[in-house]
Amino acid sequence: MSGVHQFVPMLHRHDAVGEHTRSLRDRLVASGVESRIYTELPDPGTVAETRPYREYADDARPGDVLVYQFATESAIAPWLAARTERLVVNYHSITPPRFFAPWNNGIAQLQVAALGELGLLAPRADLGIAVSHFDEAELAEAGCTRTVVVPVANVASPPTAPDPVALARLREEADRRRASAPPARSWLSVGRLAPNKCHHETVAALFVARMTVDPGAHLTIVGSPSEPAYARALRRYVATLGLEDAVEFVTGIDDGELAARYRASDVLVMLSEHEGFGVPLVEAMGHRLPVVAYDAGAVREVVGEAGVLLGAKHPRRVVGAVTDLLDDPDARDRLVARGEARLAGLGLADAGERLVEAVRGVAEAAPAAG
Amino acid sequence: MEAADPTDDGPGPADPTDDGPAADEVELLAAFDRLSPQGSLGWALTDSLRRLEEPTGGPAATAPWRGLPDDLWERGRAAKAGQRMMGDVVDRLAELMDANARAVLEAGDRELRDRLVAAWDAVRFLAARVERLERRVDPVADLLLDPDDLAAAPDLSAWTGEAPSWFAAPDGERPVLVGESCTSLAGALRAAGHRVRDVEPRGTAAWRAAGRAPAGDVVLDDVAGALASSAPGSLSGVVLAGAVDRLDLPGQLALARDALVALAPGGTLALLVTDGTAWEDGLTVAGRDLLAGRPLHPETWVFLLARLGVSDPVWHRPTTGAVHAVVGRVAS
Repeated sequence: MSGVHQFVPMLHRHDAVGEHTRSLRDRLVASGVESRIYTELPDPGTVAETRPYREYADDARPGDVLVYQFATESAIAPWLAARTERLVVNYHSITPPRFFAPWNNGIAQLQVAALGELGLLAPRADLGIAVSHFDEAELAEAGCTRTVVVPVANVASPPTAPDPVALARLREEADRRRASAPPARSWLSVGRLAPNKCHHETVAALFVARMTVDPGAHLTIVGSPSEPAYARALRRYVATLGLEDAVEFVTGIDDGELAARYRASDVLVMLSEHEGFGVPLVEAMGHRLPVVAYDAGAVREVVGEAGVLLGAKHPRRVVGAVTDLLDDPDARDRLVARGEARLAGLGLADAGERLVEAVRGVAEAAPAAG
Repeated sequence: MEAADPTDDGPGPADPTDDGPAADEVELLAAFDRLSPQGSLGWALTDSLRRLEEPTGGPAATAPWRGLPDDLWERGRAAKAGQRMMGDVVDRLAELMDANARAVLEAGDRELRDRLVAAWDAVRFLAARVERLERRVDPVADLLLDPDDLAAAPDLSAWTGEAPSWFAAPDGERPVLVGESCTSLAGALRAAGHRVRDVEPRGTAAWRAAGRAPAGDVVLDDVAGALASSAPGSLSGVVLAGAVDRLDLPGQLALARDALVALAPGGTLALLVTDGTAWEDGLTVAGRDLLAGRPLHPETWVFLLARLGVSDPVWHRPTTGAVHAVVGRVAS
């Protein structure tokens, strides 16, 4: 009996691509389709549910459809390109190497290799699945002739409830800052500490805000240090600017505390240069947190008319946008209301079903030769 | 406030309502860039060369930089001796060529376009390397904007009376360039009928502080800059003092060469060179530590000027003071 099997370099828990892969497998299995996950490297946390990718050669059945979860360079890519089964490329966006070049030669080289692999697999794929039209354009440019957009399938909807203890603590801290130096706005920035996320520009904007309009302004940056050199520089930058007490780095928190961070903040500031989707935007809208974001990548198509989008993001421009927004409660409320409406329009609720439908559509078409 | 309008800026980098970052914002963000680790430049160059040899035609072959040069020629022409600029100019040149390549090939051969873009990238990364090397050679140039803080200004009074005799008859068209800060000497030449351009490196700030504008034909620049921006053959004479003591050897030679280029045939070059011992005595502690150069012996200047094509350079010893004169003429 044929199946739909997924390939991913590593399968991690609590990781966007990992959870997406597991979610798709569970849905496929639930709909009666045989589905396994093959990896290049085992993760101790998920090794029981994966198999080495080369073993697929022994497991292969006529009519199988192979789904590649494409986010980085892997030996799986050229191996898949040489196989004859029907292929679906589920594209999760490749951060362009130019962002990493000043920080990490190794990562930059891997990203170059990943782009090469995209050029290898995209023309070969029977279907390309992207989480946004922005990513879809990259797939098409790489040579994929048939594409479909299905937004991220594993965003909690409705949003996760905030941890009440964490929320109370965070609000108390914000109140204390406000009492000391009003208005003491709480900025939030969510995303890996990686160069394309441009957290340093948010720090620079916070510095200007504190020097000009809001001496008590505070920034929380939630994200894992995925590029250590960038993360180190970010912390040094904060220290250099004398912002140690004004910028908090947070990592390794659970969904409840993350939800509390959204609820306890005044604004999400996202100045990322390259976003394939932008999950924090969705999460912010779900938690009624207004968004000020740089208009890049897929940000516009995710936020729609529910955020302040910036065409320029030098510090005074960002500070002006945040201040204008938060100084006008009516405008803020209108934006938040639009965010709630926007969430409904993104089609996140049925994204999982649409993903399964797209993959099954390939499986149910005539099988590939060989 | 129209905060609810999500498209306040619109997509893309252009925003007609935004003046862009102010200088302090640029510096604020540059402070972060300086925290990036060393060593990535090598990869960037390797990558651009790889793209030259193996054009992929994919998204990797995209130059990561933008902008158009607007003052390439002016910067190149006005470059001063000792000024770090080569990396910057080559970088701008690469940008210009890249923009042209993109414009010409926008609808054309993609592979050719990618190869051109990679070539300009390679030039750009080389430029960054040159910039680093220049900074190593001259690490404090940017900090030494006011040489008077480091070394005593030479006393040129011994030559005020004799200097006019070094020059041919006054040339109504071509001035004599006198620098730096040689006010009395310039006055003596003016009194003798010469058109004089007096080079004042202390600049507009000094004049403003004095509460008046500079009188006469004064060039608010250092003498290296004034020479670099002078057209070839446009001067009837050049007097060099101060900077000619201070600069390092390459800078001193560049100054002499630039002067000879700017002089018309038959023009006079006069170097007013401080005695080595007196120079040492006049240095501040910071000057002793930081200044790269020291005065060359007048005999050395005679030797060098002769090699540079000056006719019969002559060493004039001072009767008073510690400043020697070395004078020669460009062949007619």
